[in-house]
Amino acid sequence: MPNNLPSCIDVNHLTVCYDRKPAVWEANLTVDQGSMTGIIGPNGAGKSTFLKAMLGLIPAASGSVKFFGKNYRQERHRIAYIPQRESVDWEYPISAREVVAMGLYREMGLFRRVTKVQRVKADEALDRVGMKDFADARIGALSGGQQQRVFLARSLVQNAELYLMDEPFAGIDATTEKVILDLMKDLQKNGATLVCVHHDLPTVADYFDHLALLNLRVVASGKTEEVFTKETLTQCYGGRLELLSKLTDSLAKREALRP
Amino acid sequence: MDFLVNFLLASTWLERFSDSFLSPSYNLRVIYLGVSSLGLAAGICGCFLLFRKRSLLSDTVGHSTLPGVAFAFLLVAQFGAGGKSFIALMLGALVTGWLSVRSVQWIQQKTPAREDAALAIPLSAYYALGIVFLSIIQSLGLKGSSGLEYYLYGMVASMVASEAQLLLVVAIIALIIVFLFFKELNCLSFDESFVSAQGLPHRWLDEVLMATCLAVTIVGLQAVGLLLMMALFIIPPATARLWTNSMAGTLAVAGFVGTFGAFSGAVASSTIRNLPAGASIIMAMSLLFIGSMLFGHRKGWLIKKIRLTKLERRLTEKQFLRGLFDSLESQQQVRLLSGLEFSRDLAHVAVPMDRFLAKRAWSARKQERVGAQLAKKGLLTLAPDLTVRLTDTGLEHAIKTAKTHRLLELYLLEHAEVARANVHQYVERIEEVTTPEIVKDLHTLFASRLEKELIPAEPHS
Repeated sequence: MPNNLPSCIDVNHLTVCYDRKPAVWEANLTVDQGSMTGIIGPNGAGKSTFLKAMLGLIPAASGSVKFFGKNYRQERHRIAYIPQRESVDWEYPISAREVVAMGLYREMGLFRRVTKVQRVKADEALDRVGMKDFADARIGALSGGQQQRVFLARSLVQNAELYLMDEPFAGIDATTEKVILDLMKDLQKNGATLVCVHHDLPTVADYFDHLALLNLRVVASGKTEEVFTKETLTQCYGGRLELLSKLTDSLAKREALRP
Repeated sequence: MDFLVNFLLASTWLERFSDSFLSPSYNLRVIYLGVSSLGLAAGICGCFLLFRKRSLLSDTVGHSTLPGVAFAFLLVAQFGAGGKSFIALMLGALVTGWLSVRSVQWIQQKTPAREDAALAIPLSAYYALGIVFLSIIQSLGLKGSSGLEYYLYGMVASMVASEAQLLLVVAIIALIIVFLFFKELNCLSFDESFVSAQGLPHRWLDEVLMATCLAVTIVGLQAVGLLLMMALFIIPPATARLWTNSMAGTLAVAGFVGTFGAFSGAVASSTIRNLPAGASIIMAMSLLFIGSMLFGHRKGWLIKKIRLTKLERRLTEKQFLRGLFDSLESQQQVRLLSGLEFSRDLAHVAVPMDRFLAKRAWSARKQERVGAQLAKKGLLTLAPDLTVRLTDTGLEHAIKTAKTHRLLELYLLEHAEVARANVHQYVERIEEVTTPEIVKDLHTLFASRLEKELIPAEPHS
């Protein structure tokens, strides 16, 4: 049945380089609409880079990414992105409500001010993530899990069809983990597609129905029960060295030994 | 004799102050308008620089304007326009100021130099180049070259109406930009990747912001001088952070500190002979900053002190009441108080303070002070022989305090497995944050025990 729908994301031969060293190499991925996909892989495998490159936040060296069959720019309004928590200045003087209202800036357009309409929407979203009481709190005064929930609320007000999340479960408390997971399941039930960078292997099978195993390239992707096997995991987590990683290693070594 | 001299001095000062502040001449009014506009614009732009971690860029730009100014002066002198043509010098400053911003970005992209080095290299390189040009100008003995020193240290006395108008226009433009793009700039300063993912005008906004800061720096050079320019961008926002928790508030306070600091610095400079305006403006702003460090509403020294004192007072009062209660309990043969029934009369006996406060190691003065505080609240009566007697409300308070304390101790002992020896000191620390809701939960948790006794016995003794 999902096969009748156009795929939500189509990544074709995506390559991203830092300093000429590839961080993502010839990655291919198809994400079906209505799925909950986890992007997993070892540290430094390029998971975050992959996500950012899909959104054009980092320039890609080659390859193409299509969202709903079109370019990201055209479909931006249907997509919500939740960056990693570390990417933000938490000392910034801003309240949780104002952060959530940022999700509405695009549809508001330039020159418009935040009014009661937006504040009410923001408060509703905060309520959905269980943060209603903290609407006026300074964002830096909240705990890591609470900050993550505020970020999630900011994506909720966008009413997106596709949610791209960068490590939403990293360094958070058990309550937040449950809140986020319940909400993700809820969104999925209402037809949304979710893509998550994730690092915690034991929870993978419970959280995601689809997986993409990434280590420089997409080692395997598909339904969790088909992909989450010993063979693919060894392949991805480097039980044996592949020629490819040998190549990048030697490249890195050459750079390192240069004066 | 001394007195007379002082008086005379004071009176001329007063006179000069009244000249400069109360009834300023046309020239002075021009200067006040100019520097206040500059302070306002720099203070507001500085807020965004601060949160984009670019505050020091204003220093690099400031220093890097020198070669531009000097070179423009050389050119103008060469073509016989009589030197020191205001517009030409501004353009020169603009060119090298802009080049320095590009140089910083270029060094960051092309070399592994860290951010501080990327800022410092263009700063010193352009400044050195400027010094070279200056020495050439001096050796040529060109007419009007003494005026170039103004650009180093600032000189507002020579400010003319057109220059002040220029400052005002730049300030108004900066205000309009911040007003129109407030929400986008706010978002950009907080979470850059979100702005670009959302497709808000990201690059373009950044350029507008940098261009505005550059413009403010250039037009303000003559007033405060290029060496101190960066202070106008840094001190007001840093001061504002001590007062407010919102970005709009930060902008308002920074705008005020910038305007008021620049204005009062200019007044001081025209009151006190030979006080350069640039220096006195920065001094005025620094004073505002120090004042905010002491009295700031958000993180000031005074507010912290007050909060700490209040907290300590609440803690000591509780400790006092609990000590008194424990003493009554042990002294009065008993579980009289702790049983389901107790005699209220027996609770109202007089107890010498030093008996129940012995283990607290409080000074006699502290004992008396806390006793007096509680007496003032009507919780007890303090006799001249330093004995205290609980009133009815005092007894209720003491019971409540002791009960909460003991329930918390029980909870930690039985549910959190805290060692018996530590439990008392832990509870003293957490007691303060115990909300009525938590107290209610404690009552529910220990309901069966509380049916048997009104107050559980001290668990750790």
